[in-house]
Amino acid sequence: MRAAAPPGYGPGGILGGLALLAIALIALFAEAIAPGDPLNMVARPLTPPFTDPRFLFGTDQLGRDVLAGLVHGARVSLTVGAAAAAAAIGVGVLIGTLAGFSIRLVDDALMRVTEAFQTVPTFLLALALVSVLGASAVNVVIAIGISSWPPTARLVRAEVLRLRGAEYVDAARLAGRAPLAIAFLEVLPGALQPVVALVGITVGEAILVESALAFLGLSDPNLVSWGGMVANGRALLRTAPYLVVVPGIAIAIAVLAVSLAGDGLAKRLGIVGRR
Amino acid sequence: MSARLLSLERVSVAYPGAGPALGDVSLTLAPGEVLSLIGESGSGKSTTLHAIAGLLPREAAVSGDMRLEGRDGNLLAPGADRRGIAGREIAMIFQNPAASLNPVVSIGAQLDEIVTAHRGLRGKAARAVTDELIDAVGLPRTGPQAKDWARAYPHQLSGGQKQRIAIAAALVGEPRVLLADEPTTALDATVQAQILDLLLELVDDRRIAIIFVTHDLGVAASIGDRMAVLKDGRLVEEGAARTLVRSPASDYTATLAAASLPFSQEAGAAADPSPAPSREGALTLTAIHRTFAARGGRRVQAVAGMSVQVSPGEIVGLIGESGSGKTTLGRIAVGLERADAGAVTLDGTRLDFAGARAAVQMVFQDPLASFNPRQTINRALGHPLRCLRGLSAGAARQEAQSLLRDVGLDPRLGDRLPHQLSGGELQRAAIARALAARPKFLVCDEAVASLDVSIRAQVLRLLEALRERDGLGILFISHDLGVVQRIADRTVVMRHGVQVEAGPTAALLSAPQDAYTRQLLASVPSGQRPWREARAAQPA
Repeated sequence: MRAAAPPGYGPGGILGGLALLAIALIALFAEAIAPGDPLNMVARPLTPPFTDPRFLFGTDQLGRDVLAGLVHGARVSLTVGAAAAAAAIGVGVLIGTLAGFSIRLVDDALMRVTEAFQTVPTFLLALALVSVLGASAVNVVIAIGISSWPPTARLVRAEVLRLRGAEYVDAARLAGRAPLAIAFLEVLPGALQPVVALVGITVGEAILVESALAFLGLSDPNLVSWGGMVANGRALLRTAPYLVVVPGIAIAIAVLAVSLAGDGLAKRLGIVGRR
Repeated sequence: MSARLLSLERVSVAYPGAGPALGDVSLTLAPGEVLSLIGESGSGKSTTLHAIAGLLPREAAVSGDMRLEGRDGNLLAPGADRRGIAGREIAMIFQNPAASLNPVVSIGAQLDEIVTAHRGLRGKAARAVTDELIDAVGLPRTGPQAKDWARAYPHQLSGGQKQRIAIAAALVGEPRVLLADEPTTALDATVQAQILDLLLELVDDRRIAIIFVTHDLGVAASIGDRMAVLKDGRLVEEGAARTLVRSPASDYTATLAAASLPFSQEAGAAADPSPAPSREGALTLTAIHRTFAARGGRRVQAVAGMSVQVSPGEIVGLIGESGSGKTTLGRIAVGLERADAGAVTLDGTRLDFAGARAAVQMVFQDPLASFNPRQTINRALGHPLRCLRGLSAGAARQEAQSLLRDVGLDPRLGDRLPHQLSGGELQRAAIARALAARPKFLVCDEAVASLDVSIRAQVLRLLEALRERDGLGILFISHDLGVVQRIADRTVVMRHGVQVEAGPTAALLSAPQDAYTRQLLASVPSGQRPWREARAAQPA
């Protein structure tokens, strides 16, 4: 009855998408924007920001360019965040699908395991895993992936259970489709759609966990990372607050951009209503 | 009509970016009068009610004139003083009463709140009014079915009881006009009859005028003093309800009346008695039992020893109210559900539970839900063609086209997604999909219940044509007696999982032997005479 305008990304989604695109471009062209190793000492230590045009955001206590750190840190934050989120969503979809389609016993077992993971705070679990596995970028991805999959698994399972009883699945059974074809071609594509709504949150959370791990010194020591920069500046919080504030703002912008973009995408696909 | 209680003059409603939802509709309502408003989906019935109640969304552009006796000026004019109208002078009830009840608050507390808001009473005084209203809508505190209803929670009530509570809530403001938007559509026939009784009681006792919106011509003509027909947002015609049905002035009303198949016991014997069908090649369900585990460890016996036989070329109607087990029986017939005991046989051969049975296919109630939203119609038709008939992709595509033509659809629709088709087109496509497996039998589970009457008539004709052409046997599950009367050769009445009565449709419907069948048939408004009269003539 009412004219149904196709749902848009919404102003927040567009803003978040553009910000995310900008951060991604900066990460991609880091080498061109700030050539050389960002861990090199390039200038007088503790140059305040906006005083030397060559070092826009100043330098830290060892004379390293803060801007170069930010630019190269974007690479680490985005790739580790995206890879960890992909791992978490991958594991979640797998476990959720298995649980949704399995017999009661397997479903119950998988769900108890999921709950066991959910009872441990995400960050503590990731922290424990990195401490045991060792601090490298790959291990951080694995740790975040293992600690953040339960929400996705629960969502996918619920969707599978809902769609399994749908009339069109009954129709497919009557049409003689094989059980596996029904599971993977009829049910799963529909069950995966709402997962899109979780992508933004999961990536954002992964970026935060990565930063927090880096802040605690549990990240690859050879890579510059926003969390590491905050940790580095912490000692000089009173004398040179910009060393903490600048990378802190970068983290906040990145997480906000990812969340907004994710929401916008979900809105566009009609997964979450506008009202 | 003596006094005018409510009048609409050339009321139009339009939404930005869409055509007019309502165009120049004029209606009047006298005190204590029942006006039926009828039309197919999208005709503007609900929009009319919402315009009167002031419930239209903000973006809707409304024009025209609405006057209520005792109130000054045009109530649709911008800035008109509408205070105390919606919920007080004009109250509304809806199709789904559960949606307006809070599931975690007791019925009494919810009504108390409304009493406080409208009448300023609190505490015991409010509860006294609540109790009185609950009693007035037929849920007494004393007597054989006594219960302290006010303490009950919505989930403890049946659908009919919830609708009674919704009516009680509407009565709090002592309205002069009650707007009823398909209030009985979701209810079983016997419950619908009770709600209609209650509404007319309110008209008699309280002089409430009702605008009763429905798509069911039988209900509309029975309960209405006058009837108005809407189509595409315009008023087609208006007049005395029964006269309008018997001798419509407009072509559209005539079409609607011809297509609407109201059940009528008097016209029961019209169908020609078909020759006794041969039992050879029949689909037979013998002594089927099925029990489901319900919440709290209870077990619900859905089907308790039902036997049904459908012969080739025969249409068997299976009627019963919700919860009677008719859907479960249908699902067992096609193999979607397992029977705990009993056998499904085809021409004497037992059909296994496992695996698809190409020979017995199903058409579901909601065409949109029965297609995967992400697959084109051709793709959906391709599944049975490739899985059950082993056709190659190319051959399946060819065959899908010819199947669509068979059910009267443009083959080009095959490339569309389900939501791009109308309900009627989609249900035809669903029939095409069921036929793709070349079945000998079809189970239609409420297959026309969600369709508008004119489209329903087309789909019924299609089913009859298929029966004639291919000798298809059909188990036609329905709660709609008018439809069953029209299409079924034999009819089986089911209740609580067992058969109540069975026989040739014409005989069964005109002279039911069982008391329950009689009660069921008597609950259906035929539209032939006023509801009060029809009820009074009934055996108790």
